[in-house]
Amino acid sequence: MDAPSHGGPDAVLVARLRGGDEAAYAELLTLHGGRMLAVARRLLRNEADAQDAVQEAFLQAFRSLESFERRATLGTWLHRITVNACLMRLRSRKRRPEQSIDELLPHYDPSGHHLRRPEPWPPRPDAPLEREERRRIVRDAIDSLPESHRTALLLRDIEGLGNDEVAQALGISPGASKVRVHRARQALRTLLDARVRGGEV
Amino acid sequence: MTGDTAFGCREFLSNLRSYMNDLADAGTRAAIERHRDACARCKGVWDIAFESSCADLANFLHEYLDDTLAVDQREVFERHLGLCPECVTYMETYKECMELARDAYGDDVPAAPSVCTESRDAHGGMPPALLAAILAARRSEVDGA
Repeated sequence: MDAPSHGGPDAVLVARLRGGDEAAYAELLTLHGGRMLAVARRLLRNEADAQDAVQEAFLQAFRSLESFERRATLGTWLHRITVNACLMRLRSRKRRPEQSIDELLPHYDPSGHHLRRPEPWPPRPDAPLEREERRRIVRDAIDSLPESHRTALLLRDIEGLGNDEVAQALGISPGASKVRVHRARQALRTLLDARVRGGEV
Repeated sequence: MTGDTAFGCREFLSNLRSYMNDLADAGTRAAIERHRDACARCKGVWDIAFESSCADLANFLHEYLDDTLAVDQREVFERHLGLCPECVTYMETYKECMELARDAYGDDVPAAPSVCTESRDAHGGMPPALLAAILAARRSEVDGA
């Protein structure tokens, strides 16, 4: 993301926020609100929930301005708070029993060979229309992953969190987090395989 | 022993997989083992084939790509990849999958508008009503405190 800015625009803005400058609050929201809303929409897939989470996140950020450290950037700091606000919401949602990811993972014969032989994927076409269609298909496939795996994949591969950060955000061990992200990618590969080879993606 | 002279490296390689899968008949199994003992190169292939399975590779692929394997594990991994086009394909499509995922969400993050230039979207993708609601909620928190 953005480079840390000692005495840069972030530091100036933070100083104004800490000083209670009303205009600075509006500026912060204009600068970062759209990106945080995009994060919340991805994770929560519901506009009202996403807006609520962004509101919670910013209010939380305003309350903890004192804990903002200069070695972070405002962008990464707010991103972290927004991700946490979204995860709180995901946890509080009524839990539906999750379908198992097993059938989307590769299966092997007794000697450890793939039961379904991996086939190469053709290069992706780059026309804008095809790209839009492809992006939609991939997002649909990600959405059809079991929720806990979908969240892990988004945090690691889309939101760009490190493995330890994903583990902490999900409240699981770093080892478990690694495996969960890996299985999510493997499952996504299975979901996309036929469609990519059939030339749809 | 005409069977043995006809059973060279080519036959060894093309039958190795069915041997590993327990699908080879007794005669083929015996021929593979004889060839292995007689041919140093094919013995090398045999050793690599049996030191790791495709399942091992798929299970540790993320560690390999993250470069978190120990040096000797990494070497086993690379020996297997050098011998197994299927695992190379699996790895390539797995990586492609990560690319597709990034691309699928890549453009929906509006860049933070620069302070100096006028952005087409005055609030950087932030709905004005939400912005106003957050400011109002903050005010009431501050006033209530």
